[in-house]
Amino acid sequence: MTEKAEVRLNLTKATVLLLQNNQAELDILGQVFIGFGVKAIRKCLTLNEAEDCISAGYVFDLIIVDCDMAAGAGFDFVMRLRRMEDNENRLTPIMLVSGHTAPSSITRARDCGANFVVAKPITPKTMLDRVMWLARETRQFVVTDTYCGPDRRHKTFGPPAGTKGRRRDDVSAKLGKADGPDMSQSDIDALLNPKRAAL
Amino acid sequence: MKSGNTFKYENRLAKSVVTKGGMTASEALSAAQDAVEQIRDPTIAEIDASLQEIYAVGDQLKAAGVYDEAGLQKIYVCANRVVAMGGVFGLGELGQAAYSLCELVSRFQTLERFHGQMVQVHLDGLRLLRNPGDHLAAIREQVLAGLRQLATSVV
Repeated sequence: MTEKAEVRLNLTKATVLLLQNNQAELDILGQVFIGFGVKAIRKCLTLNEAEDCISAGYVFDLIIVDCDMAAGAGFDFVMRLRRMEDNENRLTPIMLVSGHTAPSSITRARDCGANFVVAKPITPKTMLDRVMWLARETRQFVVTDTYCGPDRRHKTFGPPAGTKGRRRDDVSAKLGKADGPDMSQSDIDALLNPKRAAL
Repeated sequence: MKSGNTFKYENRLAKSVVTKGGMTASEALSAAQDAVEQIRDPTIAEIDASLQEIYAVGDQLKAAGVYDEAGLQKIYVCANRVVAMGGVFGLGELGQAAYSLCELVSRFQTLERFHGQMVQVHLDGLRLLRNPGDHLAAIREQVLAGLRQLATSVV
């Protein structure tokens, strides 16, 4: 039997954009990514600095945006970026970091097009978990009139009951006729509780 | 209703998860923790500066005794900074108390209401939890539970 290789993280060639509206928080995030081995970190305190980086042609592998910027500027930044069809950063994984979130901001955070939201405080452990999660991200990208970003559904449960669904790969919840013999109970048990084969 | 466009795309970050080279999760965590420790002192100073601003504005608001949107927003911003930084350097309970203050202020702002005593209790809680080692864990937990109950009672 071959041993499964341990998963390792190599961020030495990754480029990361950090947008935080407070120097101390920006420094914490920067130190975390330095610890992870990232060499190319762009630290931005203002929206203008971040937009300059994006428009200057830098291509990022990960973008971290503060939710707590005045008037929800962080959400607007993400929304604009997701709509920039000619910019490679449009598809870059984006993580929002949020302290206390006012009720009015919760739906904006969900709908702006970020991959997901992480609650502050951002400790190295929290960030590492989320970076690994983002690196394994396989959700499709969705573009509609009202939303642009990764699919907000993490699991596919099919279209809502009573609707046909709008996607080509949406499968009807209605069951059709069986196209083969029923499985035996032992087959079902084996499927739900697989046992290692005795060799 | 217009149908949307859905497509697969290359996740560039996926290249960073490897089986050879780089560092293990525990090595990455250890290195990041060491890097963060380098800025412990300035960050603690920043937390204390934010707390001082909260105390000062809180006292002003209590003295005035009326709803003051700008003053409340200052408290909210400073408390949110404490939420962000406290837990990184072992002041997680202080961060939770600051979160409760944010919740309280947010509710005041939504309802355009103000209650000085509720703010005062939070300021006292922050002072107490700034030095967690001086108090028993059970007392700290009771304080936090009380603050959360107080903040969520504003409806």
